[in-house]
Amino acid sequence: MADETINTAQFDANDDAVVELFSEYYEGALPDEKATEFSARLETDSEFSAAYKQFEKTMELLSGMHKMSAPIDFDKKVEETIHRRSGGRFFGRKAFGERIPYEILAVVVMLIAGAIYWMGRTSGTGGHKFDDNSVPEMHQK
Amino acid sequence: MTRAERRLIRRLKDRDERAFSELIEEQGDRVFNLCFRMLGNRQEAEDLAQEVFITVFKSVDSFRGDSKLSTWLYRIASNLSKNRIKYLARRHDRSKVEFDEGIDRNAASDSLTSPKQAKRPDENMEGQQLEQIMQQAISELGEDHRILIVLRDIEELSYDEICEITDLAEGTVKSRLHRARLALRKKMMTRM
Repeated sequence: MADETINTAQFDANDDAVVELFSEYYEGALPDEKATEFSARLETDSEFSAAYKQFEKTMELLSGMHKMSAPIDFDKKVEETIHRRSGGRFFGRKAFGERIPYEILAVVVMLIAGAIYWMGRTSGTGGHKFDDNSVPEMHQK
Repeated sequence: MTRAERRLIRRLKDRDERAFSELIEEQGDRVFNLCFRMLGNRQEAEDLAQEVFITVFKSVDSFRGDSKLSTWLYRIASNLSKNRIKYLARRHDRSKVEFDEGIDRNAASDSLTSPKQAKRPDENMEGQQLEQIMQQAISELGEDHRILIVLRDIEELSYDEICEITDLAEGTVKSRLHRARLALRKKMMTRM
C-alpha cells in the first residue's frame, strides 16, 4: 500500500508512489481515510485530477479490450498435432464405440433386447409364449 | 476445486481424449486471448495456445491439484509466452510487433466478442484504433510487466491467482504492476 501523503503541494505523475496511489484508488484498495483524502484532492487540484483521469482512461481502455476467441478449428488442430507427435498413439481414427457415447449405445442395446423379447413373447410360432393348452393334463383321482 | 473439475483431471490423467476435447472447448478462448495479448500476433498466439494444450496433455500427470486447473493452465501459458517473447526477440522477429490487424477485418468479426461495443461506426472505428494502439503499447513492455497487465487488467484475475501463476509474492506483483501501468500510461500518452 502506498505510504505517501496525498495532500502534498507538488507531485510527479510519473513517480512510482503516485502511480501506486492511483492504482490503489482505482482498485478501491485504499483505506477509507486515504480514499477520502484522495477524492478531496481530485476535487481541488486540477493537475492531480487531470493526471488521474489519464491513468483512469488507460485502465478503462485495458479492461475494455476485446476478448479474442480461438479459431473455430483450434481443437482439431491441437488434436492433429498431438496425433502426429505421438506417432499416431493418440487422437487417431476412433473406434465405433468411442465415437458414439456409451450412454446412447446402452439405450440402443436395451431397446434391441426389449424388441427381441417382445417379438419372442408375441410370436405365434416357436415363441416363448406360455400356452396353457400345450400342458398335458394332470392325473385326476 | 469442484467435483466436476476433479473428475475432469482424473479423466485427463487417464488420457481420455474426450476429456481433453472438453478442456479445449472450455478453456481454449481464454488461453488464446492470453497468448494473443502477450504476443500481439494472431498466428503466433494460435501456435502458442496449441503448445499450451499439448504441454497439458503431456504433463497432466505432474498436476497435483493444489490449484485450480485454470490457474495451472494460465501458469503454463504464461511461462510459454515469456519464453516465446524471448525467443522472438532473439530472432529479431519483426512479426512480434506486427500486431494483428484482424480486429478491423471482416474475417475477424466471427471470433470477436466485444464487452463494450461502440454504437456508431465512427465510434467503433475509434475504439478499434485505440485498441490497436493499446496492443502496440503492451507489446513494447518487458515480458514480466506484460504478463501482469494481461492477467490483472485484461483477464481480471485476483491477486491470489496471479501470485500462484507467476510464483511471486503479492507485494512484488503489486509493485511490478504499478510500474507496468506507469510505463503503459507513458506509452499511451505519447501516442494519443
